[in-house]
Amino acid sequence: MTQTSHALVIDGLTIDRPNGQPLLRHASFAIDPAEVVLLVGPSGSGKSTIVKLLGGLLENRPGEWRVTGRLHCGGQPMDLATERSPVGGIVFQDHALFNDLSAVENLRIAADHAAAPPDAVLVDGATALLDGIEPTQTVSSCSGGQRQRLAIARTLLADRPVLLFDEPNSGLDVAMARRLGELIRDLCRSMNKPALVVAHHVKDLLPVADRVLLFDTRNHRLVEVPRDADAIEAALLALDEGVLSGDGPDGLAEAGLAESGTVRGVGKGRDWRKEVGHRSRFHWFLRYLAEYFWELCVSPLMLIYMGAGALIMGFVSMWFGFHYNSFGGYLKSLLHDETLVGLGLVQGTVAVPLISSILFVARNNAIIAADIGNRVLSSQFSAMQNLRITARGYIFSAILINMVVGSLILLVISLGMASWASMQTWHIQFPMQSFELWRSHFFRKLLPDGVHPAFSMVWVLLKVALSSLLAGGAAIVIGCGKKESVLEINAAIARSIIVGVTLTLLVHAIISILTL
Amino acid sequence: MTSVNALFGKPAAVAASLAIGALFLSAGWTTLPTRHAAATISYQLAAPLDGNSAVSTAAPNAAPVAVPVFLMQPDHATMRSGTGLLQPDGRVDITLFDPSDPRLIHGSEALLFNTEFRVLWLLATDEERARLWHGIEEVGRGLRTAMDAIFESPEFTGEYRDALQDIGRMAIEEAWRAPSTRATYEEFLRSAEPMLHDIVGRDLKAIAMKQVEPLVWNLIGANVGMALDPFRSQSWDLGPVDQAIDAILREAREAGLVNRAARQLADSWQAKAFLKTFAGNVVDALAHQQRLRDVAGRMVNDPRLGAYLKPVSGPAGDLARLAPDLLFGVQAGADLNALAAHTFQGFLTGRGGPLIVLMSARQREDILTLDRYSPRILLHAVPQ
Repeated sequence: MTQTSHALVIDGLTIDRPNGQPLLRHASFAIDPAEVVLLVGPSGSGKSTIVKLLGGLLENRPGEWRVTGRLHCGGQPMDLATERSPVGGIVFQDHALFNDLSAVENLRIAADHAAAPPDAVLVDGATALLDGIEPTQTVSSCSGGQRQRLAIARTLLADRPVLLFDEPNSGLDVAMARRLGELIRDLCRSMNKPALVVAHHVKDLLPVADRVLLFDTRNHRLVEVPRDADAIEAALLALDEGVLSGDGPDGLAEAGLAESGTVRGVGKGRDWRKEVGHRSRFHWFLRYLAEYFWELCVSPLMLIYMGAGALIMGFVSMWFGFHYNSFGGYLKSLLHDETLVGLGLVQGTVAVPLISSILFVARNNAIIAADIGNRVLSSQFSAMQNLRITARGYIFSAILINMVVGSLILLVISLGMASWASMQTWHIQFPMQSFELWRSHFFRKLLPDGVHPAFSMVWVLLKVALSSLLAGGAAIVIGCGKKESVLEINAAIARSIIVGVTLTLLVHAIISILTL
Repeated sequence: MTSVNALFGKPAAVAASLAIGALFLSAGWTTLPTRHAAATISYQLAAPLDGNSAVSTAAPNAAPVAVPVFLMQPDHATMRSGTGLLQPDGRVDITLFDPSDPRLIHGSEALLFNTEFRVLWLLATDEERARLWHGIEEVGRGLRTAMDAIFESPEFTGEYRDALQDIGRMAIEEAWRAPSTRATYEEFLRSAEPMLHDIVGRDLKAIAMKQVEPLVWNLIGANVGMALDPFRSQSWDLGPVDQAIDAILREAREAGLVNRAARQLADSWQAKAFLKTFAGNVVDALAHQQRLRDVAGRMVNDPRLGAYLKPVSGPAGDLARLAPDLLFGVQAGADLNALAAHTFQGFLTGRGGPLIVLMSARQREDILTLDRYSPRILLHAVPQ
């Protein structure tokens, strides 16, 4: 069924924490093809760190984790001190599904970024887990069990030599945990791949495990123990007492594994295979580009929001431009032409571009920080990295391109709306005059020949595009910061708005002054 | 992004975005200036353009000149109603902003003006012009009263008169040494009979020099009004020169020093040319005197003399309020004086150029009665 069937051999693995404390010393173990090995240990002991290491997600740069040891898989020895392991496909504890993609897109993007395109047998095997899930179903509409199966299927389609499960039974009741264990065992056997299952609660998964490795946190070793639940729990209790501090149990509630009926049904495998198909990387680039284009630039609410801002700006500048006049109607009439020229120039080159940029950046920076923060918190970026999907290539570039392009598109729309509001406001004040009089004066500096924009509009485009680009970059950086709770995402949103608007004001002020 | 994703798949949301975007863009599009509109009506200048005309173009193949077009309504309120294109051959193609505007029924005739404040005067109603004239006359009367009071005041005689007289004497001497004065004087002498040389050179000169000083004061008094006009383009009022000549003749006659020939000599054109040149040089010398500017500055800032200006301050204030209100203000029932705005802008920028006013035949005749030379008549052109 699978193209790869290699044993995983770890030799002399040593891991030190970023603070220099040892996590593991000289650990060696092997997992044969189709073998399920359970890795147990106290909470916070570092089991997930081993999963991350094998999935290539552990940062081993200076100041981060320090790793030594060798890895053998498929006859390719690897120095873990200098290389990232490419062998492990991780099923994350919280699934880390891409919730902006549909169910089938979650599979499709994994398949399209696999080292080699998955064959039909692999696709059938992976999609056999998806009984009861519609391909176009959104992730948010899937139950907990459906999400778990979707996450497993996605990892299978990435076709890594080793399957890694990070606490898959967390939050599940006994029956569901046992069903999940059977599913993992069947997958390993049918795909002839080794599997490492990290678990804190072992009793439910013990029946499906071929061997059990205990993480001895006192001696920093991995010890193979008998598949005896009581003995393992006793050992864990003994180790728990020795753990001074830990991360605590990860408490993501998973529910509904049983509601989907059998987890092993073949269901609509054929349909899924057709749906998964193959897309180029350019397709995925356009997919993300379109997604963010819609959300950041042209959704109906965005257009209404920007249009309303421009409408108010056009009204206010024209209304008060002619009403705040201490000499009353005399100067209002006498200076009418030049007032219109001035208002047109200020509105077109300073006021509307500024208000348009501020509205655009404030709204989009909030969205970007929230979106990126959510992806960080739900391990989506880690999943992307594990699936060889470059977030920078798709998401970051799509955001930045849309920030620039969208700001310019919405600037044009804002200028149009502000001009229209100005013209109508002017006509309220001068109802006996023709609109053409307003047109001839208002655009005198902006469209000197009545058709082509003045050169000064180049600076307007520059400051709008540059401020949006910088603000978008700031939002990405802030969003990518470490997130451990929703509160941190909220704080990042506020920070992103403040930084983005400040950058926008600075860019506009500097370019406006320099190009006066 | 989940809700977004849900929206993204909905054609209704996409259609809404397209509709909103199209609505906004089309609203903006309607604000852009009208381009390449066809001419609505054409006129032809009644007289061909000449090189001296301010509205002429430089060469026959010169580019057409864009001209603003205004409509004068029955109450003389003006509004901008279109744009004209003045061709080098005198043809004017006018594109009206709104050809269906019913107010255009009052604009069958057209006149071409240069952009200057005089246009506002010509286009004012008779009542407005009468009110302005009355205001100007009041100011003139007040000014004369004020000047008389100042010249007779102890402050002036005690502090400024001597200085001004000294300045006057210096100006006279400077004017006498001026080459043009010398040239006209020599011409005057050459024109006299040799037998009169001695009388003229000695006695008549003394009489003439005696009259020069009052002549200067009279010249100042006669030209003070024009000196207050910053846009003066007329020559000085030299009427006092004729009065001085009469005084010289009268004194010579009373002194018995001159005979009939001398009177004929003084009455010759050479004598008048000399005196006019001399007087003109005196005034020019005064105008260039720094001391005069200093003394005048002190006089202007002297609060004691300011009290004597009371007769003129009231009328001047009234005129200062009335004139802008009548010429630049918004007429009753109108919302904008577009012609005043255009004229003011032309004045400030110095790039007035021509302008066209559409009006009724009656209004055109009224304006031409006031000024037959400044406005250029536009005749209806045959469509081409």
